[in-house]
Amino acid sequence: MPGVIGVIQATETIKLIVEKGEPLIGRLLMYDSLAMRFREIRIRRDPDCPLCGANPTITELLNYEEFCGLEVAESAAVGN
Amino acid sequence: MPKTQQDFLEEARREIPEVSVEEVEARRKRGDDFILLDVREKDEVRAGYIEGAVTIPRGFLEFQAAGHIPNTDKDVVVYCAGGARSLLAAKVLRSMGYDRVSSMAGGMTRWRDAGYAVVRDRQLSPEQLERYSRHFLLSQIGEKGQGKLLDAKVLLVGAGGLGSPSGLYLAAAGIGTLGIVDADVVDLSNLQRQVLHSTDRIGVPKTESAKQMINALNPDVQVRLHNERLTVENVMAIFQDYDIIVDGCDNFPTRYLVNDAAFFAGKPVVHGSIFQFDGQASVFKPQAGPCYRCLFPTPPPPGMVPS
Repeated sequence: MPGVIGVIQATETIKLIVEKGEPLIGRLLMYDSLAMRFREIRIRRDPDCPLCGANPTITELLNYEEFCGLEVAESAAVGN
Repeated sequence: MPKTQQDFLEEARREIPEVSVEEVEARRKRGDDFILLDVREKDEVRAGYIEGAVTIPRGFLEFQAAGHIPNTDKDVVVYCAGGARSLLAAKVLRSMGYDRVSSMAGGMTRWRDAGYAVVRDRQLSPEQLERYSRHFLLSQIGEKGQGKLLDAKVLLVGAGGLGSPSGLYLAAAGIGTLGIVDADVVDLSNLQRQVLHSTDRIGVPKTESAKQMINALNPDVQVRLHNERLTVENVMAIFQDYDIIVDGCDNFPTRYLVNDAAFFAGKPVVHGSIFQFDGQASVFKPQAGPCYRCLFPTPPPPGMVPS
């Protein structure tokens, strides 16, 4: 199953390098291998995105474990 | 009466207008909308051609013209080494419906004499010409595209489920430099899907294992090993050496780290993710489109989606 997505990633990389074709910029390709169906949705830049939006609040790298709630979860487990 | 070489040329001259090299250079400088078509043999083209020219050897003209120049209304200027082959080629194109076709008098010889710019692509060895020959059949790649692939530097974040197929195909295609970030070692349970590795390399660091497989497939690829986890401390230094980041992460903190770092470094991320039987793919290019956070501003609560 990861095979298909991995090869799609290789294809997109090659397209970016040779500058041909339409890359998946602004599109999310979704693959359901059990139904064997591909779907695509358009995705847009979020003007309020804290990283790439008009008024970014993230201007340097963060503590990503904390951002994903992992440290908090661990300390909660330890506390109990 | 059998035709002579002169007959062919005279017939072509009656039908096809000729343009001077000065005229062609002037049109290029002005940015006029026209196509330059080089009909010389591949080895002549390799020695130097006019930048931006479409190249179709005379022998393939009838078969490839439509693929390279789909619009028969286009203004096409054909050139060759001396201006003879281009006349004959232009006559064939006219009969294929290209009404605005002309031939550059004097060809590349006169172009060079006039001192105009000549470009050369990265030279491929005979072995490379053979190895990548299937790419040259594709007009979108060709020898020029292959040169770009060989000059490219791509970083694979993760040499596991996603990094395996992407790494294999990128190596086969001839990506010149492939960096691999992975701190794990090969485990038996990986082999159900991680096709970059093998049974005899269980216990070997995944980066090492990947390098062995990749170089066995394609020795052209320079594999750079980053046998470590990506962290806030190392990510910017690692990313700066590469042109494109391929996201094969298996956990959310790393995914957000990759997204943010790539944005700060100005590098596009080719994103892929899988969960059970579903998968997703996209390309996040800074400034050109959304980033991972535009799509998923918050990560799932811990424990809800296993990494």
